[in-house]
Amino acid sequence: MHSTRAMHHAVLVGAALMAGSTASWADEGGFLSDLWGRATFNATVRSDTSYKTTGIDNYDNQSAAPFQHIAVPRQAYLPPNLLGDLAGGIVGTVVDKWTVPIPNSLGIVHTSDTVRRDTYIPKANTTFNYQELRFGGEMNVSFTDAWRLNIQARASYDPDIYKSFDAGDVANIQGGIADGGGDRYADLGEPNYFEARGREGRKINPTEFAGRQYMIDFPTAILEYKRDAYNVRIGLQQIAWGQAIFFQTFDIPDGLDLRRHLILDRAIEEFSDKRVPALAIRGAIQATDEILVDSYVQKFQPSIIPNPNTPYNVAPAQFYKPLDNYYSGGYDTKLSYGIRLKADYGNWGYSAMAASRMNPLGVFSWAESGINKGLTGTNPDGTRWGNSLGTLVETVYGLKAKAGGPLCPNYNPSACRMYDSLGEALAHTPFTVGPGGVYSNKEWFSAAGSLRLDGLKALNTAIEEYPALRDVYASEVDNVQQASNLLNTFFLASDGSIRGNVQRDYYRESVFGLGGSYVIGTENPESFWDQFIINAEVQYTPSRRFTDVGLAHGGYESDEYIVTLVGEKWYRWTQAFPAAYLAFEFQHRSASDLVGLSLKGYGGNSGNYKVNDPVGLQGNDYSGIRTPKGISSADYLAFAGFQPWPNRKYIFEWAVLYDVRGGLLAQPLLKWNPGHNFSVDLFYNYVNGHLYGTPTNNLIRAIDFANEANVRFSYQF
Amino acid sequence: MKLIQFDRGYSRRKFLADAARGVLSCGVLMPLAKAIAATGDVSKAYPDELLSIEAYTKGRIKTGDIIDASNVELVKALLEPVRYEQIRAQGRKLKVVKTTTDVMRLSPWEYIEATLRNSGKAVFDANGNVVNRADGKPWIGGNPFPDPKNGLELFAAQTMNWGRHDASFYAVKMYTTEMASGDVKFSYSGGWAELSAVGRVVMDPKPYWPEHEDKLRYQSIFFLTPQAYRGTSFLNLWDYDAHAFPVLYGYVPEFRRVRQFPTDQRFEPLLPGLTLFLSDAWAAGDPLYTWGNYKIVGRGPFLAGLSESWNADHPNWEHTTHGGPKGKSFWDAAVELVPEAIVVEAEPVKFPRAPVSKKRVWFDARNQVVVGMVTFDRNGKPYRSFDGAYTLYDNGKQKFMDGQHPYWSWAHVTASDIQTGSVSRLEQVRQVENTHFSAANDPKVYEKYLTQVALMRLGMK
Repeated sequence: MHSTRAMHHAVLVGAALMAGSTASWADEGGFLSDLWGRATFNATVRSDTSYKTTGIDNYDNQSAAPFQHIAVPRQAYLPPNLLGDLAGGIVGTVVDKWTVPIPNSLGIVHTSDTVRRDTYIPKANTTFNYQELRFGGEMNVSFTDAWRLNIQARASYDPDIYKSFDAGDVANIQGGIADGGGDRYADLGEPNYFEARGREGRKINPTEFAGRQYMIDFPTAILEYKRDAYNVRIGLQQIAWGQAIFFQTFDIPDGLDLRRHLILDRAIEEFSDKRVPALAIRGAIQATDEILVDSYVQKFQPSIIPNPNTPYNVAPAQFYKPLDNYYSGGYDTKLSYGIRLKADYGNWGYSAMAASRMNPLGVFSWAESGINKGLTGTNPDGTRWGNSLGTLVETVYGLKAKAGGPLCPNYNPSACRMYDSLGEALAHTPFTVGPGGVYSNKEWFSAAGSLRLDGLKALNTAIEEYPALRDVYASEVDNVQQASNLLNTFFLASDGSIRGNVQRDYYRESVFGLGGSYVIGTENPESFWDQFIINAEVQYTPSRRFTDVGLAHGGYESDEYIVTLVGEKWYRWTQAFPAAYLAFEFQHRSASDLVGLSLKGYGGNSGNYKVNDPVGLQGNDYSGIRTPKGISSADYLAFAGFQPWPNRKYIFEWAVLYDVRGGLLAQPLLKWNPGHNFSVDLFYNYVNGHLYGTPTNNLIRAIDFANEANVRFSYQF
Repeated sequence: MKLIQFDRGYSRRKFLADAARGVLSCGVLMPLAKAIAATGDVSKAYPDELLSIEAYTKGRIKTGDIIDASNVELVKALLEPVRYEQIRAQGRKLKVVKTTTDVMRLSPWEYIEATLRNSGKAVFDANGNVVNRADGKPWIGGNPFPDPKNGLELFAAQTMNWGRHDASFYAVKMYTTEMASGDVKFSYSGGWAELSAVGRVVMDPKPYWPEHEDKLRYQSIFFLTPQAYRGTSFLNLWDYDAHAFPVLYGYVPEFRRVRQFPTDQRFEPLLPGLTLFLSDAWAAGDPLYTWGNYKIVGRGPFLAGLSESWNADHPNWEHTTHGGPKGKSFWDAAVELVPEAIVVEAEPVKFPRAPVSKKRVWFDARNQVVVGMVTFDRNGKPYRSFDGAYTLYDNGKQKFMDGQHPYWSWAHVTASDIQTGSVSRLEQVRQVENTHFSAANDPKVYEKYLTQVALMRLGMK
């Protein structure tokens, strides 16, 4: 529906442009033809292909989730609230934690089993990580020397050559992945490669037209006015700041669009294809020969994260796509604004910036699912789903007295219920019964760790923030053992898995920056340090709001400083080749990682850590579970550059990102310019997130499935 | 009509004798500078055989004739080896036009006036920078060494003011043809801007731009097509100190912002396929003292384009081509017999591991413009060759004015990579994209092209 409407809009826009073209031809010699003469058009067509070179798929996606092929034991435990209910509170006061297993009932009640995800989730086998066809076009009309219109359009198409998870394949398991509580466009069918919508279904970026397999957007659509030393741009635009490249320190105006190829495109393109265009007014003044003043006011546009089960999804698909409160929270009317001063005095350069912005990454927190779905039900094919434990729990829930009624004047979760049914109660929690969620305690802590969350805190936070969870017999836990017991009890009762619901909100922050650069000059031109540019940029943000490791609403605040040092140099190794461009970089971050996630969530579980043999009545498997201890800082090194061949027909490029805590992303690339406006890029992404140390202590672990060979063909006309 | 005793051998003997004495004294029959100062014409300084192709070839080639493979042997001595070989074997042709003797047609009018007015006032200071002898301040305009005595003076003047206007903007189209296939494999369009901060003779304030006297020039280059390079631009701020590398800022589309770049590597191809380096600009693209060992290695007549090269018939001044397998390898070019060219060699002393071991540059003695250049690789073999054409934009019927006088500038350049066989052709056109127009001495060139904000604008994105 949305796709059809979007396509209709796109066609109308195209028709309008075509109409304009036709009119100009009909007006030969007149105003319009003069305007046509002032218009230029350029375009590029491109194909990008990434071939997976390992057998590893993205473990954030359904078919490659860490415990997809591993049996994990599950044992149900007596919920303290339930015990209190059954024994009038007497037992509850004695056994007040999740420490008492429910005995084996000879199959009458389903209280223990072993579970493998692949029992429910079909296998996927992707040969290619990525295939995209793209058209990029630019129209520039210079009305006068002072006024100019520039529109750049980008159309991407993904032919969907991957064998990915399709939610339709699990429609008759646990009743399928349920709809409701918000726009679940990215969760209910085949992977949605491009659309990005808010909770209520509106496009996050109102100027893009997207469907499951295509998107058309406008990286730039500006009206520019220039006079003397002034330059003003009004319209959709991307703004990049700072001398430092790759590591964003001053480069704070825009969010990032991580759809398509995440950050794994040709590295030297930096974020040129990633910055989210925003409606803005940007003014720049060359105040003096040396001083440039650059400022902007823009409508806030958030970063866009990939959808579940798309090739470069970065959030475990056991969660629903986060419900984005961009519109419902009123963030779409917020403005971000900033000013930057750049002064250059020969070999010395100085810069300063200050901005008040909505942090485009936002803060993720548990969300009420809004999905009324209990522990049993009927599948679309008419079969029943749910097991005896689920039936028992629903029955017991129904026996509780309605809160506020004569039997329950004061609410007590052991004796009272707030809702008419357990399904309605769950609708007021962040959890929804359905396939493709979390199936076991082991998987819970793995998914939490991969998202840099604390599985234990996240559980308690959900219970604290959503009273309906107490209503369905959840209660706070003290340790991972109790958490495991609670979780596996719920998973067993669900007859499969439970899916998580989170939301995204945005918060304002004030960002300040100072920078300086110096060009080293030596007497000896042979010296490596001659004409070596040193640049330092520091960003300080007081009270920056981060996602809480327990997914608490509102996140948590912390001051953050980011220090980036850059060294740049042209260096000629030999007479036979032109100079190579070398860039050395270091970044130190005090509170978040490169993508903005809190360092407090570092160090949890990842992947399919050790699982003991199924233990049945012996209880749940707690081995290897750990909660994140966090890290004090994140430190990254980068080395990038390029070495052109004589005539520049070939260029060898490289980019290496090294996380000092044991992660490496390396990209060698060969660019071939054979002429006739054609070019070919061949590159390889080597990603290793477990060089040493705890894998979840480094950022790279999150994408270290993405070892891939890439080829890009481009033609410009 | 000159006396018969000034035969063809006389000129040669004069040039050789000067070389033997280690002196440079332009002119054969009389000092060139005196002839110019007296009459504004060079005729009295040279014998007929150096002023007309007919006399030089004893009538076998006439003005209006085409030099091609059939007759190139007659003028082999007037060509650098690369052009000779291109004419002999690759189908290149040159049309011969009349030698220009009126010096006012050989440079911008005001530049020549300032050259004559300020003759003898320039001197090198203790740091080697060209200054006004009277007060030691930066140069005041025109050619500081119109009667050059050595190679350094020739290069100092050339580096001082490339385009000979106070400000220039050139709309440029570029093509690279591979000799074997004859295909145009790379095409680019863009612009080049330059503005003098000192030595200004037209634009107010002059001769210095207050508070900018420490700068020699502002210069930028940008590209509009193809799409992948659209918006790529670089801004060079040249210090007046001829030892200092320019400060370089660039807008690279991939980075979408203006950044400072290291500036010492100036032998890098700017774009794929182009046989051009920053160092090649006007044969003096680097600060004067980053090269050294300037020495005069030859003098004599030469064939070069100095007139009749404006293609006014094309609305955008675009030039026609010929030669090579597909007729696209060389410009249709007009050359004239240059009575006296001074050949100077220099070495890149501040560029370790540069691919160039030396450059050999031909200067026209009449106006000291560069009329040819050959660079040599580290093995001493010819590497790349440059030839071009200047012209007055006045063909007798049409004129393109620069203030009170017809515009004078370059028209086209041919850069040949001898070792790979590719030929890059550049031409100055009227405009690119109906937005950027070739012009001289427009004060707006600074705000439009020569600031960091200007680079942001040119960056488009």
